[in-house]
Amino acid sequence: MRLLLSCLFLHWALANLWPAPWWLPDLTLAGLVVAIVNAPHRWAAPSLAAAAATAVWTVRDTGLIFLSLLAGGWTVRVCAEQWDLSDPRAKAVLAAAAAAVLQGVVLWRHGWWSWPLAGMWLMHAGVTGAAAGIIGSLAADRRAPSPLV
Amino acid sequence: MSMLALASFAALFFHQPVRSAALTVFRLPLTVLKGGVTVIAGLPRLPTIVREHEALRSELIRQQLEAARLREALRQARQAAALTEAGGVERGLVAAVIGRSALPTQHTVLLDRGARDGVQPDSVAIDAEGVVGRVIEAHPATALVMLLTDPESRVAGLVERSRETGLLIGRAQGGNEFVYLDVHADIEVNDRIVTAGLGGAFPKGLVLGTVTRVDRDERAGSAVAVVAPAARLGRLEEVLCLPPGGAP
Repeated sequence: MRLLLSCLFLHWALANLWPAPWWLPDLTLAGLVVAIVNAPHRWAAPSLAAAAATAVWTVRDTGLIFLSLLAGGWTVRVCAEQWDLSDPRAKAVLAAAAAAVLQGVVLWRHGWWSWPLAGMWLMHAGVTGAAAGIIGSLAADRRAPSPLV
Repeated sequence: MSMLALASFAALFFHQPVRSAALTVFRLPLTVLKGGVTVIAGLPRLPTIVREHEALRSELIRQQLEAARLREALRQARQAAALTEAGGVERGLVAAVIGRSALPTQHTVLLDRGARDGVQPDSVAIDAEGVVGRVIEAHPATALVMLLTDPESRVAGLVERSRETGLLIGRAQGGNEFVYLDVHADIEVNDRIVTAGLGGAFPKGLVLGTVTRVDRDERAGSAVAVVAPAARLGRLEEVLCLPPGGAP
Protein backbone atom coordinates (compact mmCIF):
# COMPACT_ATOMS: atom_id res chain seq x y z
CA MET A 1 0.00 0.00 0.00
CA ARG A 2 2.93 2.35 0.70
CA LEU A 3 4.11 1.78 -2.85
CA LEU A 4 0.72 2.72 -4.26
CA LEU A 5 0.43 5.81 -2.06
CA SER A 6 3.90 6.93 -3.18
CA CYS A 7 2.85 6.46 -6.80
CA LEU A 8 -0.38 8.38 -6.20
CA PHE A 9 1.51 11.28 -4.67
CA LEU A 10 4.13 11.29 -7.43
CA HIS A 11 1.39 11.13 -10.08
CA TRP A 12 -0.37 14.11 -8.50
CA ALA A 13 2.87 16.07 -8.25
CA LEU A 14 3.91 15.34 -11.85
CA ALA A 15 0.44 16.19 -13.17
CA ASN A 16 0.89 19.67 -11.70
CA LEU A 17 4.27 20.10 -13.33
CA TRP A 18 3.61 18.42 -16.66
CA PRO A 19 1.43 20.42 -19.05
CA ALA A 20 0.95 17.55 -21.55
CA PRO A 21 -1.16 14.83 -19.87
CA TRP A 22 -0.79 12.27 -22.67
CA TRP A 23 2.97 12.23 -22.10
CA LEU A 24 2.54 11.68 -18.39
CA PRO A 25 2.65 8.00 -17.41
CA ASP A 26 -0.36 6.85 -15.41
CA LEU A 27 1.66 6.24 -12.25
CA THR A 28 -1.51 5.42 -10.31
CA LEU A 29 -2.23 2.51 -12.63
CA ALA A 30 1.44 1.49 -12.74
CA GLY A 31 1.62 1.51 -8.94
CA LEU A 32 -1.62 -0.44 -8.70
CA VAL A 33 -0.38 -3.16 -11.05
CA VAL A 34 2.93 -3.52 -9.22
CA ALA A 35 1.27 -3.50 -5.79
CA ILE A 36 -1.24 -6.21 -6.73
CA VAL A 37 1.34 -8.38 -8.52
CA ASN A 38 3.48 -8.24 -5.36
CA ALA A 39 0.54 -9.17 -3.09
CA PRO A 40 -2.38 -10.55 -5.15
CA HIS A 41 -4.50 -11.49 -2.12
CA ARG A 42 -4.58 -7.80 -1.06
CA TRP A 43 -6.04 -6.42 -4.26
CA ALA A 44 -9.22 -4.75 -2.98
CA ALA A 45 -7.78 -1.94 -0.84
CA PRO A 46 -5.24 -0.73 -3.44
CA SER A 47 -7.86 -0.93 -6.18
CA LEU A 48 -10.33 1.09 -4.11
CA ALA A 49 -7.67 3.67 -3.23
CA ALA A 50 -6.56 4.05 -6.86
CA ALA A 51 -10.15 4.22 -8.11
CA ALA A 52 -11.13 6.83 -5.51
CA ALA A 53 -8.01 8.95 -6.13
CA THR A 54 -8.62 8.91 -9.88
CA ALA A 55 -12.36 9.56 -9.64
CA VAL A 56 -11.76 12.74 -7.63
CA TRP A 57 -10.63 14.54 -10.78
CA THR A 58 -13.27 13.26 -13.14
CA VAL A 59 -16.05 15.49 -14.40
CA ARG A 60 -17.65 12.74 -16.47
CA ASP A 61 -17.51 8.93 -16.69
CA THR A 62 -16.80 8.87 -12.96
CA GLY A 63 -18.57 5.54 -12.43
CA LEU A 64 -17.01 4.01 -15.51
CA ILE A 65 -13.48 4.98 -14.48
CA PHE A 66 -14.04 3.92 -10.87
CA LEU A 67 -15.39 0.51 -11.89
CA SER A 68 -12.72 0.10 -14.58
CA LEU A 69 -9.97 0.50 -12.00
CA LEU A 70 -11.68 -1.96 -9.64
CA ALA A 71 -12.13 -4.44 -12.48
CA GLY A 72 -8.55 -3.83 -13.56
CA GLY A 73 -7.30 -4.56 -10.05
CA TRP A 74 -9.28 -7.78 -9.92
CA THR A 75 -8.01 -8.82 -13.37
CA VAL A 76 -4.40 -8.19 -12.36
CA ARG A 77 -4.98 -10.29 -9.26
CA VAL A 78 -6.34 -13.19 -11.35
CA CYS A 79 -3.41 -12.92 -13.75
CA ALA A 80 -0.91 -12.77 -10.87
CA GLU A 81 -2.40 -15.94 -9.37
CA GLN A 82 -2.34 -17.76 -12.71
CA TRP A 83 1.12 -16.80 -13.90
CA ASP A 84 4.43 -15.71 -12.50
CA LEU A 85 4.52 -11.95 -13.10
CA SER A 86 7.51 -11.18 -10.92
CA ASP A 87 9.55 -10.14 -13.96
CA PRO A 88 9.37 -6.31 -14.30
CA ARG A 89 8.79 -6.73 -18.02
CA ALA A 90 5.60 -8.71 -17.29
CA LYS A 91 4.43 -5.89 -15.01
CA ALA A 92 5.24 -3.37 -17.74
CA VAL A 93 3.19 -5.27 -20.32
CA LEU A 94 0.28 -5.65 -17.89
CA ALA A 95 0.30 -1.95 -16.97
CA ALA A 96 0.56 -0.87 -20.62
CA ALA A 97 -2.40 -3.11 -21.50
CA ALA A 98 -4.41 -1.76 -18.55
CA ALA A 99 -3.68 1.87 -19.53
CA ALA A 100 -4.58 1.17 -23.15
CA VAL A 101 -7.87 -0.46 -22.14
CA LEU A 102 -8.78 2.25 -19.60
CA GLN A 103 -8.21 5.17 -21.99
CA GLY A 104 -9.43 3.17 -24.98
CA VAL A 105 -12.81 2.60 -23.31
CA VAL A 106 -13.18 6.34 -22.63
CA LEU A 107 -12.20 7.29 -26.21
CA TRP A 108 -14.48 4.64 -27.68
CA ARG A 109 -17.41 5.66 -25.47
CA HIS A 110 -17.23 9.29 -26.65
CA GLY A 111 -16.33 8.48 -30.23
CA TRP A 112 -13.15 10.55 -30.07
CA TRP A 113 -10.93 9.33 -32.84
CA SER A 114 -8.09 10.66 -34.98
CA TRP A 115 -4.69 9.38 -36.01
CA PRO A 116 -2.78 11.83 -33.77
CA LEU A 117 -5.02 10.81 -30.89
CA ALA A 118 -4.41 7.12 -31.58
CA GLY A 119 -0.68 7.81 -31.51
CA MET A 120 -0.95 9.59 -28.18
CA TRP A 121 -3.11 6.81 -26.77
CA LEU A 122 -0.48 4.21 -27.70
CA MET A 123 2.32 6.41 -26.41
CA HIS A 124 0.50 6.90 -23.10
CA ALA A 125 0.14 3.14 -22.74
CA GLY A 126 3.82 2.74 -23.58
CA VAL A 127 5.11 5.26 -21.04
CA THR A 128 2.78 3.82 -18.40
CA GLY A 129 4.18 0.35 -19.10
CA ALA A 130 7.73 1.66 -18.92
CA ALA A 131 6.95 3.38 -15.61
CA ALA A 132 5.50 0.13 -14.23
CA GLY A 133 8.65 -1.71 -15.29
CA ILE A 134 10.85 0.80 -13.48
CA ILE A 135 8.64 0.82 -10.38
CA GLY A 136 8.56 -2.99 -10.42
CA SER A 137 12.37 -3.17 -10.59
CA LEU A 138 12.77 -0.68 -7.75
CA ALA A 139 10.19 -2.52 -5.62
CA ALA A 140 11.91 -5.86 -6.32
CA ASP A 141 15.28 -4.41 -5.24
CA ARG A 142 13.77 -3.23 -1.98
CA ARG A 143 12.11 -6.58 -1.34
CA ALA A 144 15.20 -8.67 -2.10
CA PRO A 145 17.03 -9.92 1.04
CA SER A 146 20.36 -8.24 1.68
CA PRO A 147 23.40 -10.44 0.91
CA LEU A 148 24.98 -9.25 4.15
CA VAL A 149 22.28 -10.81 6.30
CA MET B 1 80.62 49.66 8.69
CA SER B 2 78.28 51.42 11.05
CA MET B 3 78.36 54.47 8.79
CA LEU B 4 77.42 52.31 5.80
CA ALA B 5 74.52 50.82 7.71
CA LEU B 6 73.36 54.25 8.83
CA ALA B 7 73.57 55.57 5.27
CA SER B 8 71.53 52.59 4.00
CA PHE B 9 68.95 53.14 6.71
CA ALA B 10 68.77 56.88 5.86
CA ALA B 11 68.46 56.11 2.14
CA LEU B 12 65.71 53.62 2.89
CA PHE B 13 63.66 56.23 4.76
CA PHE B 14 64.44 59.45 2.99
CA HIS B 15 65.24 58.53 -0.66
CA GLN B 16 61.87 58.00 -2.27
CA PRO B 17 62.76 55.47 -5.04
CA VAL B 18 64.78 53.29 -2.64
CA ARG B 19 62.00 53.54 -0.08
CA SER B 20 59.37 52.53 -2.66
CA ALA B 21 61.43 49.59 -3.81
CA ALA B 22 62.06 48.47 -0.24
CA LEU B 23 58.43 48.73 0.75
CA THR B 24 57.39 46.79 -2.34
CA VAL B 25 59.83 44.03 -1.43
CA PHE B 26 58.74 44.00 2.20
CA ARG B 27 55.04 44.09 1.38
CA LEU B 28 54.56 40.32 1.11
CA PRO B 29 56.50 39.26 4.21
CA LEU B 30 54.89 42.06 6.19
CA THR B 31 51.44 40.98 5.07
CA VAL B 32 52.18 37.37 6.06
CA LEU B 33 53.54 38.53 9.35
CA LYS B 34 50.57 40.74 10.05
CA GLY B 35 48.25 37.88 9.15
CA GLY B 36 50.07 35.56 11.50
CA VAL B 37 49.92 38.10 14.31
CA THR B 38 46.22 38.68 13.70
CA VAL B 39 45.55 34.95 13.79
CA ILE B 40 47.50 34.49 16.97
CA ALA B 41 45.86 37.51 18.55
CA GLY B 42 42.44 36.32 17.48
CA LEU B 43 42.86 32.75 18.73
CA PRO B 44 41.34 33.47 22.17
CA ARG B 45 38.33 35.06 20.42
CA LEU B 46 37.88 32.14 18.03
CA PRO B 47 34.86 30.54 19.79
CA THR B 48 33.10 33.89 19.87
CA ILE B 49 33.90 34.53 16.21
CA VAL B 50 32.55 31.11 15.24
CA ARG B 51 29.33 31.78 17.17
CA GLU B 52 28.98 35.20 15.55
CA HIS B 53 29.61 33.68 12.15
CA GLU B 54 26.89 31.09 12.68
CA ALA B 55 24.48 33.74 13.91
CA LEU B 56 25.21 35.94 10.90
CA ARG B 57 24.78 33.03 8.53
CA SER B 58 21.40 32.15 9.99
CA GLU B 59 20.41 35.81 9.87
CA LEU B 60 21.46 35.95 6.21
CA ILE B 61 19.39 32.86 5.40
CA ARG B 62 16.43 34.33 7.28
CA GLN B 63 16.75 37.57 5.34
CA GLN B 64 17.00 35.68 2.06
CA LEU B 65 13.83 33.73 2.90
CA GLU B 66 12.08 36.94 3.83
CA ALA B 67 13.20 38.54 0.55
CA ALA B 68 11.92 35.50 -1.38
CA ARG B 69 8.58 35.69 0.47
CA LEU B 70 8.24 39.38 -0.31
CA ARG B 71 9.13 38.82 -3.97
CA GLU B 72 6.43 36.11 -4.17
CA ALA B 73 3.88 38.39 -2.46
CA LEU B 74 4.75 41.17 -4.91
CA ARG B 75 4.37 38.79 -7.85
CA GLN B 76 0.98 37.60 -6.55
CA ALA B 77 -0.19 41.18 -6.04
CA ARG B 78 0.88 42.12 -9.58
CA GLN B 79 -0.80 39.02 -10.99
CA ALA B 80 -4.01 39.75 -9.08
CA ALA B 81 -3.95 43.33 -10.40
CA ALA B 82 -3.40 42.05 -13.94
CA LEU B 83 -6.22 39.53 -13.52
CA THR B 84 -8.64 42.19 -12.33
CA GLU B 85 -7.63 44.44 -15.20
CA ALA B 86 -8.05 41.59 -17.70
CA GLY B 87 -11.51 40.86 -16.41
CA GLY B 88 -12.45 44.48 -16.64
CA VAL B 89 -14.28 44.09 -13.35
CA GLU B 90 -13.39 44.35 -9.71
CA ARG B 91 -15.93 41.91 -8.38
CA GLY B 92 -13.98 38.81 -9.44
CA LEU B 93 -12.53 36.41 -6.95
CA VAL B 94 -8.87 35.40 -7.17
CA ALA B 95 -8.37 31.68 -6.54
CA ALA B 96 -5.22 29.58 -6.49
CA VAL B 97 -4.90 26.41 -8.55
CA ILE B 98 -4.14 23.61 -6.10
CA GLY B 99 -4.42 20.54 -8.28
CA ARG B 100 -4.70 19.27 -11.82
CA SER B 101 -6.27 16.18 -13.31
CA ALA B 102 -3.82 13.50 -14.35
CA LEU B 103 -6.32 11.89 -16.73
CA PRO B 104 -5.38 12.71 -20.32
CA THR B 105 -8.99 12.90 -21.50
CA GLN B 106 -10.22 15.17 -18.72
CA HIS B 107 -8.62 18.59 -18.51
CA THR B 108 -9.59 20.00 -15.14
CA VAL B 109 -7.98 21.99 -12.36
CA LEU B 110 -8.98 22.35 -8.72
CA LEU B 111 -9.29 25.81 -7.13
CA ASP B 112 -8.87 26.67 -3.46
CA ARG B 113 -12.11 28.69 -3.41
CA GLY B 114 -15.61 27.25 -3.49
CA ALA B 115 -19.28 27.91 -2.96
CA ARG B 116 -18.59 29.43 0.49
CA ASP B 117 -16.55 32.15 -1.24
CA GLY B 118 -19.16 32.81 -3.89
CA VAL B 119 -17.93 30.54 -6.66
CA GLN B 120 -20.84 28.90 -8.44
CA PRO B 121 -21.24 26.47 -11.34
CA ASP B 122 -20.64 28.18 -14.69
CA SER B 123 -18.47 30.85 -13.10
CA VAL B 124 -15.84 31.85 -15.65
CA ALA B 125 -12.16 31.35 -14.80
CA ILE B 126 -9.71 33.68 -16.53
CA ASP B 127 -6.10 34.69 -16.10
CA ALA B 128 -4.20 37.75 -17.25
CA GLU B 129 -3.85 36.35 -20.78
CA GLY B 130 -7.38 35.10 -21.39
CA VAL B 131 -10.07 32.56 -20.62
CA VAL B 132 -9.03 29.47 -18.66
CA GLY B 133 -12.36 27.63 -18.53
CA ARG B 134 -15.53 27.47 -16.50
CA VAL B 135 -16.44 26.08 -13.11
CA ILE B 136 -18.14 22.74 -13.54
CA GLU B 137 -18.48 21.76 -9.87
CA ALA B 138 -18.57 24.16 -6.92
CA HIS B 139 -17.95 22.44 -3.60
CA PRO B 140 -18.02 24.34 -0.29
CA ALA B 141 -14.27 25.02 -0.17
CA THR B 142 -13.07 24.03 -3.63
CA ALA B 143 -14.18 24.26 -7.23
CA LEU B 144 -13.41 22.11 -10.25
CA VAL B 145 -12.76 24.03 -13.46
CA MET B 146 -13.12 22.47 -16.89
CA LEU B 147 -10.30 23.93 -19.02
CA LEU B 148 -10.85 25.23 -22.55
CA THR B 149 -8.89 22.27 -23.92
CA ASP B 150 -11.15 19.62 -22.38
CA PRO B 151 -12.80 17.59 -25.16
CA GLU B 152 -16.25 18.49 -23.80
CA SER B 153 -15.55 22.24 -23.61
CA ARG B 154 -17.74 24.38 -25.91
CA VAL B 155 -17.53 28.18 -26.06
CA ALA B 156 -19.22 30.45 -28.60
CA GLY B 157 -16.57 32.73 -30.06
CA LEU B 158 -15.91 35.23 -32.79
CA VAL B 159 -12.92 36.42 -34.75
CA GLU B 160 -11.97 39.77 -33.22
CA ARG B 161 -10.95 41.30 -36.57
CA SER B 162 -13.69 40.11 -38.90
CA ARG B 163 -16.48 39.23 -36.39
CA GLU B 164 -16.90 35.75 -37.94
CA THR B 165 -18.69 33.56 -35.40
CA GLY B 166 -18.05 29.94 -34.57
CA LEU B 167 -17.67 27.48 -31.74
CA LEU B 168 -14.43 26.87 -29.90
CA ILE B 169 -14.19 23.22 -28.91
CA GLY B 170 -11.55 21.31 -26.98
CA ARG B 171 -9.66 18.48 -28.61
CA ALA B 172 -8.93 15.19 -26.88
CA GLN B 173 -5.25 15.42 -27.88
CA GLY B 174 -4.99 18.95 -26.46
CA GLY B 175 -5.51 22.41 -27.96
CA ASN B 176 -8.66 23.86 -29.48
CA GLU B 177 -10.52 24.01 -32.77
CA PHE B 178 -12.77 26.81 -33.99
CA VAL B 179 -15.54 25.11 -35.95
CA TYR B 180 -18.82 25.85 -37.77
CA LEU B 181 -17.10 28.26 -40.11
CA ASP B 182 -17.99 28.78 -43.75
CA VAL B 183 -15.33 27.70 -46.23
CA HIS B 184 -14.84 31.35 -47.27
CA ALA B 185 -14.93 32.66 -43.71
CA ASP B 186 -12.68 35.67 -43.13
CA ILE B 187 -10.25 34.07 -40.72
CA GLU B 188 -6.47 34.00 -40.92
CA VAL B 189 -3.49 32.79 -38.96
CA ASN B 190 -2.74 35.06 -35.96
CA ASP B 191 -6.37 36.23 -35.71
CA ARG B 192 -7.54 36.50 -32.12
CA ILE B 193 -10.67 34.62 -31.07
CA VAL B 194 -12.78 36.22 -28.33
CA THR B 195 -15.93 35.11 -26.55
CA ALA B 196 -19.16 35.94 -28.37
CA GLY B 197 -21.20 36.36 -25.21
CA LEU B 198 -23.75 33.77 -26.34
CA GLY B 199 -24.94 30.91 -24.19
CA GLY B 200 -24.89 32.58 -20.81
CA ALA B 201 -21.70 31.62 -19.03
CA PHE B 202 -19.03 33.69 -20.80
CA PRO B 203 -19.26 37.47 -21.01
CA LYS B 204 -18.51 38.98 -24.42
CA GLY B 205 -15.00 40.01 -25.45
CA LEU B 206 -12.75 37.79 -23.34
CA VAL B 207 -9.71 36.51 -25.25
CA LEU B 208 -9.88 32.79 -26.00
CA GLY B 209 -6.82 32.25 -28.17
CA THR B 210 -4.97 32.83 -31.40
CA VAL B 211 -5.45 31.03 -34.71
CA THR B 212 -2.42 28.96 -35.66
CA ARG B 213 -3.80 27.16 -38.73
CA VAL B 214 -6.86 27.27 -40.98
CA ASP B 215 -8.05 24.18 -42.86
CA ARG B 216 -10.63 24.85 -45.58
CA ASP B 217 -12.62 21.95 -47.06
CA GLU B 218 -14.14 23.03 -50.38
CA ARG B 219 -16.15 19.81 -50.75
CA ALA B 220 -17.77 20.07 -47.33
CA GLY B 221 -18.05 23.84 -47.66
CA SER B 222 -16.64 24.41 -44.19
CA ALA B 223 -13.46 25.56 -42.50
CA VAL B 224 -11.82 24.62 -39.23
CA ALA B 225 -9.22 26.75 -37.45
CA VAL B 226 -6.73 25.37 -34.96
CA VAL B 227 -6.49 27.74 -32.01
CA ALA B 228 -3.78 28.04 -29.35
CA PRO B 229 -5.36 29.07 -26.03
CA ALA B 230 -4.32 32.53 -24.85
CA ALA B 231 -4.10 31.45 -21.21
CA ARG B 232 -1.09 29.37 -20.24
CA LEU B 233 -3.19 26.36 -19.29
CA GLY B 234 -0.17 24.23 -18.54
CA ARG B 235 1.26 26.68 -16.00
CA LEU B 236 -1.71 27.99 -14.06
CA GLU B 237 -1.12 29.38 -10.58
CA GLU B 238 -3.95 31.82 -9.95
CA VAL B 239 -7.16 32.56 -11.80
CA LEU B 240 -9.92 35.11 -11.46
CA CYS B 241 -13.44 33.71 -11.09
CA LEU B 242 -16.15 35.85 -12.64
CA PRO B 243 -19.85 35.27 -12.05
CA PRO B 244 -21.63 33.44 -14.91
CA GLY B 245 -22.21 35.79 -17.82
CA GLY B 246 -20.37 38.55 -15.98
CA ALA B 247 -23.55 39.22 -14.00
CA PRO B 248 -23.18 41.29 -10.85
